[in-house]
Amino acid sequence: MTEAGLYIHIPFCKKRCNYCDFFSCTDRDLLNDFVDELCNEITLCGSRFPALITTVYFGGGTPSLLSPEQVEKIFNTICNVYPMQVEESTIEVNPSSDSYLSDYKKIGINRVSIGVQTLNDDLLKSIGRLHTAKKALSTLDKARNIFDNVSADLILGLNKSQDIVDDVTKIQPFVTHLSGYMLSVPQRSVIKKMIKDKLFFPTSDDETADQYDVLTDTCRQFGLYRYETSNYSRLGKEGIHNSNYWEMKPYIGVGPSAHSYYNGRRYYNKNDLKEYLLGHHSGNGLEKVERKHSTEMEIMETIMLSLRTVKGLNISEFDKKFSVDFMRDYADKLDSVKKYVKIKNGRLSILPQYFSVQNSIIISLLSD
Amino acid sequence: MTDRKSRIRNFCIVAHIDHGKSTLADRIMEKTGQVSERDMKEQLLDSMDIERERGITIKLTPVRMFYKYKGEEYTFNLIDTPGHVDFTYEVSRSLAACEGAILIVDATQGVEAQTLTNVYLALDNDLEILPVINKIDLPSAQPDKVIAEIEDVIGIDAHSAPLISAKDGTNVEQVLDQIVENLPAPSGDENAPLKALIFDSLYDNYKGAICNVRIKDGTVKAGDRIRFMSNGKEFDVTEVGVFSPNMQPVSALYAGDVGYICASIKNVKDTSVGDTITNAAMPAKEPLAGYKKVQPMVFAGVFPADGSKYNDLRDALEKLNLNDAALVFEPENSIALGFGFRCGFLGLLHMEIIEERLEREFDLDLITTAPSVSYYVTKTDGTQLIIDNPSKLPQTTEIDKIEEPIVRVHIYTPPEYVGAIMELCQEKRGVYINLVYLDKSRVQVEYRMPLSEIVYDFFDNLKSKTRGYASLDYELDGYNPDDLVKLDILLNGEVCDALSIIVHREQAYARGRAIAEKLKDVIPRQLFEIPIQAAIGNKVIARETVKALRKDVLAKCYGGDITRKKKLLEKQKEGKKRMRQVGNVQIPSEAFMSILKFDSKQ
Repeated sequence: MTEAGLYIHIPFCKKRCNYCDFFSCTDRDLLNDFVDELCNEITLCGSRFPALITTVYFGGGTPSLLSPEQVEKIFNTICNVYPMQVEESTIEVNPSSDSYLSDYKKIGINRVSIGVQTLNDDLLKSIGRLHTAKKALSTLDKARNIFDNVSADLILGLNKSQDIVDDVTKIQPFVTHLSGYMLSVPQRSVIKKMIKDKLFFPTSDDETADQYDVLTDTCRQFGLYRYETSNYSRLGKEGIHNSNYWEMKPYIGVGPSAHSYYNGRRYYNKNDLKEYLLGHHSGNGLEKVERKHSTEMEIMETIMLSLRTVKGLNISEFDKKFSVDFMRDYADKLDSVKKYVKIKNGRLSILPQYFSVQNSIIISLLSD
Repeated sequence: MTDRKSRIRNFCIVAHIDHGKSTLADRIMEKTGQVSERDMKEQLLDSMDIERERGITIKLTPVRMFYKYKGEEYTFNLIDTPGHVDFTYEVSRSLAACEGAILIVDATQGVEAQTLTNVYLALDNDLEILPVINKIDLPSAQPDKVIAEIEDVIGIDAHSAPLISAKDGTNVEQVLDQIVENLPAPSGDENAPLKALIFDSLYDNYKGAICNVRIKDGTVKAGDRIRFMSNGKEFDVTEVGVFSPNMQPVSALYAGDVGYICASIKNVKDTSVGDTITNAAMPAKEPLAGYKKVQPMVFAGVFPADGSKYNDLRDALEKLNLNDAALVFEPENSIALGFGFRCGFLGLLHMEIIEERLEREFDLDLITTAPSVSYYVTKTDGTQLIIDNPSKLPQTTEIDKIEEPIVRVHIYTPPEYVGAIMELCQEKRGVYINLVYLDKSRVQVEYRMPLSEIVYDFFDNLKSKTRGYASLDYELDGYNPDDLVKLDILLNGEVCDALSIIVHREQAYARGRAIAEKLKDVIPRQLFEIPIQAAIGNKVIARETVKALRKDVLAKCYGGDITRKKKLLEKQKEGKKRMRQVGNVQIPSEAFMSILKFDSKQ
């Protein structure tokens, strides 16, 4: 039976962050109705997209707004419709709503990912987070005492004054995993306007790249090794669910705007809570499907996603999957990027110092 | 039969650009009932989109009209002419088909550069000039002053010139009457052997090459066998006709007429403009005096932005060439830009128009190199070369002498800008010739100047320094040797051939610096640092650096959403397709254009 990850999107927040254009709702009265519909979607998906579920991931939004009862209800629904052999089940936790950690553990959650973002209180405030550095550290401490697997998120590029070394130094004792993302400024976000109004000063691309290098170096000193462009972990503590994305393994997404990859097909739910509550979702066959997947597209995805990882692209698997001879067919392209990649043990990967400019390299490999 | 010719008037209208040539032509057609007011499209004779949009005339468009004067019906053949200096050659072609020229002068602006150029051309062709003062409806019109100016500057009698408004039709009848009264009827003998002057030719998908002709002697009708006197080729006439203004077949064309001849001619090159057509059975002894073959003045490399469109570009150029013999082109292979064409144009406007037509009518995306002129190069071994492509210039050590084309420039301006104009001309290596006060408000400034300076950015500079009040005209005036050098641009150590230019040594430093700075802004950062160098031979005279790219990575995948990432990557991939590669450096197409313009006062 197909093994798959299950992603559950919880589009609710106490308050939307200023840098976010992701779909979320601040009206928590709808939370119960939402959980009901979510369970309905999972149940229906069980017959449409059968699979052996190996990872579960509650993402958001702020999934830690869910009460233990709600999480349990969702979990029970999954168990009723899907065979499960769960190695990893994660919930994203916002430090400002961290009350139920031990209850989650009892239900079966074995990993938490905490949205620290930065330990600079001024920056936390200006990006619209409700917590302080102190609160984030106490949530981390609490999480460490409950879970074996704790991850923290950091955002790079908020400001030149960000002290990445200090942040990592303070966070690392509590975590087995760390994600560092570069700030992106969505068109319709509050932050976009703040930048325009000179109320917020993100770093330049060069400064962001510097911060990224500092992050990678600092993490390494503390035994957190980069295994993917934005992810660092202690040995053996890599995130399994997210790795599915890069390894082109199947995943089923439920909830508004959740994406899925199943049977070589990519599809997703619409980004609309109201319609979702009326049953417009993949459970009822109302998902959006990406235009037909061509081999060329699949090759592009494979190269683009696998080169995000430190392990890189498995050449013999690639040859088998696409009936090609990568080393021969891509000889010219490989030659054009030879300074920036290495081939070792049958794998092609980007040299560590060029991870921050990987698009240019990937495009050189993809161009006709 | 003399009766018939005595009631024909063949004329053209000459004017400075924007003085109202096409508007008067429209009004004349309307008044002669050639087109009803209701059907009147603005500017009827300018049929190309570009002509209408820019308010310029490029092609010669003849039209036949009838006008009743004192009870007699007269046939008018009007041949519209371009006003711009680039198209002087076309003007002279149409003049050769006429006996008279209407000279329009704007009552608010007076005599301008092209007014004179065109009048002199008309006088050279022995045409009778009929001056007309236009735009008298404008509050700033000063007809008396303009009449005096015409008499002073041009030296023709203008006291009875009609004062008209072509826009609202005021006094246009006076123009029509004076055409009958003052312009001569054609001469020529209907019974003599056929002599028809080709003043234009164009290609029609159904009829083949069509010759627009002025019959000087004899007659021609369908069924006649005709011969082109320059190449001896013979064809059977399938149709003769007139323009009204659309093509309208007639039974025959006689001496004095203006019309067209079709003879199933497949190749438009057989119908060279200026040639004489005669009757194969009863040929004329001597051809009419033709015209010189037109010489292109400005050259540029034209390349498809998408390299795979080379054949499309060739087809498009061939098609344009059918109706525009002045355009010349030959294949060019550039290291940076791949396969394309080196094109020769009459001038900058001609170049712009061709580019625009290629992009618009043929939907091509183009990369054009900086325009160049054609240099005479004498090598140390005595061989002589004509170089119109800077990258083809031999090594400095092999060059004995480089000569560049010089033009005589006439600038007409209000006196307050004389200082600025003279400064500009000096800066552009101009040699002062003369300065004449035409009257209190107008000065003619004359300089000898390298054509390459005009091609570069002279127009824009002149316009901005005189707030658009000055007008300019020039004619070729020989070649001069000077201290000219090739300025190369090196990207990451490799010469980019498409960016090379030939400049005067003293200007090389400023140009080199400006180009390097400009390129630094338009070349995107890449995986490695890119030095940009401007060099003369092996000597680097300017340097800039494009720093290595630091951040080019996509943000996190929210909940497995990789579609956004793919879209962004695809966009980047598409962007890369539009780049050109020199060595391992990617160059956007704008880079090649960006060196065309620079403000020396920056």
